[in-house]
Amino acid sequence: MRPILLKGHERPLSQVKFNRDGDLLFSVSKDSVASIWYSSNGERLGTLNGHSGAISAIDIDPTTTFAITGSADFSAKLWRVETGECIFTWNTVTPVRGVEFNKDASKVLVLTAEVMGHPGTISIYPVDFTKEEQSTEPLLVIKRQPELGVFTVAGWSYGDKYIIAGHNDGSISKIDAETGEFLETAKYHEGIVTDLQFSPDRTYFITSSKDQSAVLVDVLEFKLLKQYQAKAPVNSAVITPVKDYIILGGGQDAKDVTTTKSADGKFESKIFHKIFKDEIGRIKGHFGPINTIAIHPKGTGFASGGEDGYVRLHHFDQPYFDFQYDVEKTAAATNKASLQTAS
Amino acid sequence: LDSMEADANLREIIMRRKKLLKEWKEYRDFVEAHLKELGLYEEEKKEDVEVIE
Repeated sequence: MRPILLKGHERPLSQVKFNRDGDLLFSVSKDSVASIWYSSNGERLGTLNGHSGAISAIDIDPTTTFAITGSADFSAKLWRVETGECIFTWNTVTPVRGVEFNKDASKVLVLTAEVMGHPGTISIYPVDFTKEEQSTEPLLVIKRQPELGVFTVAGWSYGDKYIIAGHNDGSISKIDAETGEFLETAKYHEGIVTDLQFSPDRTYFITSSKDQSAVLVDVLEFKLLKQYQAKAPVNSAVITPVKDYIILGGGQDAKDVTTTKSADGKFESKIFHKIFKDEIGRIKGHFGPINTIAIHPKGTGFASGGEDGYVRLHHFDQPYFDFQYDVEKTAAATNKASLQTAS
Repeated sequence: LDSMEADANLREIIMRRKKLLKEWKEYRDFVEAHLKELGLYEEEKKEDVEVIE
């Protein structure tokens, strides 16, 4: 595995994300700047400058024409990727914690924090890329149920049917994306839900938590599919395409680490087999907790962003793709034989 | 651990993995059927790329 160290941010990373083609990597940080990097060599293509506070989240439209960022400066901004210009700003009453386009980027969800007596919400705004001026009138505002914790993360499920949200009390919710009705809630974590990322077809998702675990949950029936134990707080989790793996990133918070040895903080990315739940490997390198992980859309590598201010970009070597358990080899051979018989 | 016991343990692990793999395949088949019903199922796209050597 060949890691490339991306040095460009001056403060801890909040989120890293690949565009749909995977040729570009986007990163946002508490230093209020968003960076765009070539994922092949780690060269910085440019920055998005305009926020006046920590940036917490970023997303990119399917054609990599526009990007949206959410910041603690009480705004979400829409950017033209090619020129780096900010074309629109949505102002919010509290800091923005999450942003995500739906599948065709005709809508965007903006998750705001619950502070200063204002309730945290998930607002859905319409997006029209044919014009610069955007509607500031949300299509839907989702407020949390009183019995659930504050929203911490949210994303769109398959077919944009549901919004899946994570809460700071360890709960997760399934919300109708048209009506805002809470359809299901479950509590698969004992601590704050720190990240939520979907499978490529968005029919199941993984959540990570400070409770040192990650869980795989089905969208349709909202049932627990798998649970993974990391032995350290987990800040981010991804499901890998191509291989049946998941990758977790996290580590002890700096205030909880009593020595300066990074080994004590468990600042590692851990690869688990998604189905068998065995830990397959660990990737060290960060000098502080890993705050965010993104997987390349074609499954060829991943990026991690740390509290240390660095992004580490990893390209998987061939053995990563070749490795199979004996039962997987047998199943693949049986499947191939049955396909040949059928044809 | 004698070799018979080791064999038994290995067999148990393999059987467990087989079961988990089977359960996962059944789950995915169920979900794919649901996506097909909704007209949302997308076959894995083959990349349209030209390889120049």
